[in-house]
Amino acid sequence: MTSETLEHLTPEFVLIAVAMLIYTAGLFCDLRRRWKWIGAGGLGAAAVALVWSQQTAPPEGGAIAADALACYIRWLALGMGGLLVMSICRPAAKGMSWHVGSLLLAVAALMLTAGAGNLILLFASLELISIPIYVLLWLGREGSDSEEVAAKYFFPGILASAMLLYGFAFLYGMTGSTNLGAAAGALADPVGVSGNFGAFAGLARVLVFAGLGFKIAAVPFHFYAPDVFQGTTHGNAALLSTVPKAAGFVVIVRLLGPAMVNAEPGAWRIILLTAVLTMTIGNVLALWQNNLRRLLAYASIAQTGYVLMGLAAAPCGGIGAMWFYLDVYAIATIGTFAALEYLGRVERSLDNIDELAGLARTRPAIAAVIAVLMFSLTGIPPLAGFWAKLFVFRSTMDVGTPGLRPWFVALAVIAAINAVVAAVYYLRLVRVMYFRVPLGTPKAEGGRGPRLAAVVSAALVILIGILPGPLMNESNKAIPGGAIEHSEAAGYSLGDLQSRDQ
Amino acid sequence: MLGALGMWMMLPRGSNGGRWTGGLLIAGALGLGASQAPWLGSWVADGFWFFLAGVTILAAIATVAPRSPARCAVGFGLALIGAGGLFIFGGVQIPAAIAVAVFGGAILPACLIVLRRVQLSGDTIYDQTSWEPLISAATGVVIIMILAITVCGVTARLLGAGGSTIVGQRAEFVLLNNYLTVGAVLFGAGLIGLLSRRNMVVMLLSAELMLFGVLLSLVAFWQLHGDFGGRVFVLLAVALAVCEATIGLALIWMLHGRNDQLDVAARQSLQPPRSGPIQFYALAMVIGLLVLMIVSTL
Repeated sequence: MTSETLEHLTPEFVLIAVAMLIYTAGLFCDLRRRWKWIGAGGLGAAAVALVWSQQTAPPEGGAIAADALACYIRWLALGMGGLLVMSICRPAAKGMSWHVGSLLLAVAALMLTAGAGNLILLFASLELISIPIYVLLWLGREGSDSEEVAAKYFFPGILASAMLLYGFAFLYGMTGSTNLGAAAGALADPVGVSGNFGAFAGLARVLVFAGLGFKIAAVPFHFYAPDVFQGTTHGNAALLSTVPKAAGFVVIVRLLGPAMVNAEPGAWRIILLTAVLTMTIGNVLALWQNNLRRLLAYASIAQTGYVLMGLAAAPCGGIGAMWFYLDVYAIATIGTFAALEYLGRVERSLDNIDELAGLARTRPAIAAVIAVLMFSLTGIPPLAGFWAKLFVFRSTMDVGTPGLRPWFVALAVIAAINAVVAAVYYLRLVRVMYFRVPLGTPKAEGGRGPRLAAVVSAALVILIGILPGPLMNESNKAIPGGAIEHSEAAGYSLGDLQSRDQ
Repeated sequence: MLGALGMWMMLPRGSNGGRWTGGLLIAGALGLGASQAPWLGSWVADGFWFFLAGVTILAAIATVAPRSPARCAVGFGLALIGAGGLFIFGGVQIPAAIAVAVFGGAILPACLIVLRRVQLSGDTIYDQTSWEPLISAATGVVIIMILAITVCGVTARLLGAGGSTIVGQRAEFVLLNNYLTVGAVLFGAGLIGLLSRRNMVVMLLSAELMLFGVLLSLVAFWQLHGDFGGRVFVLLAVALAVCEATIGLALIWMLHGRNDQLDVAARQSLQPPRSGPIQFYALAMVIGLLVLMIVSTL
């Protein structure tokens, strides 16, 4: 590795070093909650390193892709990491150091995934995200629940990893190189690029999407999500619903992005079908859940469907809309879980919707925070969620390619109906909080960290709602081979393709 | 023909009855499959290669089918050795040694240790029965068929261009699609095991079998292209497979500590009792994969 590559990867190294430090030091000293601040300090140091590392660019076509997409996701990872670290409160009794260390490792792995330009590095970093999550899930709850959810995440996860690796093997076989740009090009134009091996493209595409579908919890790979979310803490659920999703979407955009922009038939059919199914099933099944985490699990499955819709609309700037949506969704989701974590007691966290009853009277501030986040997730103006849905819908309606237009109009209609259905259960939470008689005051022993995380999320959501512009501009630039390092290595940069279409 | 192979392999039901009939049918299916595969150069090399491939495939089935987990572990070891032989045949001695050493030396003994701690004989209820054997076997076989047909289709095109694809140093002996088919069979067998067995250690062994099938395909592609990235890919895949297996074994150890048994369906304590067993989830994922495949090629 050249020194430029190493310098470029400094943020990840910082995070990994701090994580290792926390792991080992945790065996000797018992710092309890102060680990969180050390973790937050590590994230801050990594942010500084990220700013500094943007000045050096690793060599073209090497293992690291230093483009706008990588930069965007790395900042997103650090932001999510910050919120997540704040929202850890329990288990204080055992393994707090492991908790923070694993969180930092997962964030570092997400950053690595974003910056990977090589199939090998990509697979390694995807696994690096999963493994701390296995640890976190096991640490998650006292009692037998945590082990069951760890098994429920592990075995389907191994299946997904095997499918993903098989897909990568076919990609390597098709192109003869492990470069991501080449692989994406092969998927975009199978016969043209790999000639006789083009028949593998269909297999590779589906296998890769299946493996990644597990991470983003798309139907039909979503089954683990409700059980796992229900059986673990709010903090872990927040992590699970954002970090692997972001990682999965980064890889999908890198590999299937050029294929989507070219509206290559196999790819957009898969994404379209999955988007519709995911939205619908997630929304419908969320309607009759009473357990809070299960409800939010199905809700996040449905949100994945919207993000996939943005991806499907890739020929018309859908990818930018997709990243914006993912950002807003991540902030709102982490905030919601943090607020719920704050409201719980030490022995038992908040489980059921009924426990939220009348929250507006007993704890008005947190109730207002949760209400704001719910409104954002529903898509009510002028909050950030509204802009997110608007951008995604606009990209979908903008798709002008003749044969595809009816499908996309149908997609938009289905999405609109789904948004209404989603509003039913999101607003049900608000209704329970504000209009029902309280059963008692929730103890709110979660600590200041989760409360801070929830308030910051709500503030961000309101801020982005008022000023969506800057974030939207950044999101639009975050395509593979985008602004910072225009990568001509594979010749399939999206900028070229989009300008060709116009 | 490959359809016949598929149908006949459907019959050995995971851990239920009908063992001998199933075995004979598989043998017949393998014979048919082998007769379809393109022949190589000389008789000796052919025989040796097919012998190794046959051993590997049979061992793969032996990893998934037997009732006793100890025999499953033995089958896994045998599959490793057979595949190691295939590697050496293709001229990749060092990765062969590494893969066999790593998988065999690390994963296998660890599994055996866990098994020894709990039980070894396969008398328990969750070893006797398997979960939806017909659907799992059918799904796995369909996947193998799709993979094999695609692979053979590609190589047929290449053959049409003149000459067989040369792989490795013993160039005149091996063909790409044979390797890929064996890899696909291993993948499918592991898939069937993961979907239908209830003993967690056997599930883990099946998952490792799947990863091993992927490894075989990777090695074949690497030999085809001969670039350095392939070597790194192979080694890294081995390393990551071992990591997953380690975490899995640790998890299984912790899980067994509760109830002192290795059944994956033993604890369904999450309310409401709508949460299903893991196999259902995995099966749904695989069926989803098939649906997506169909959709994308319409």
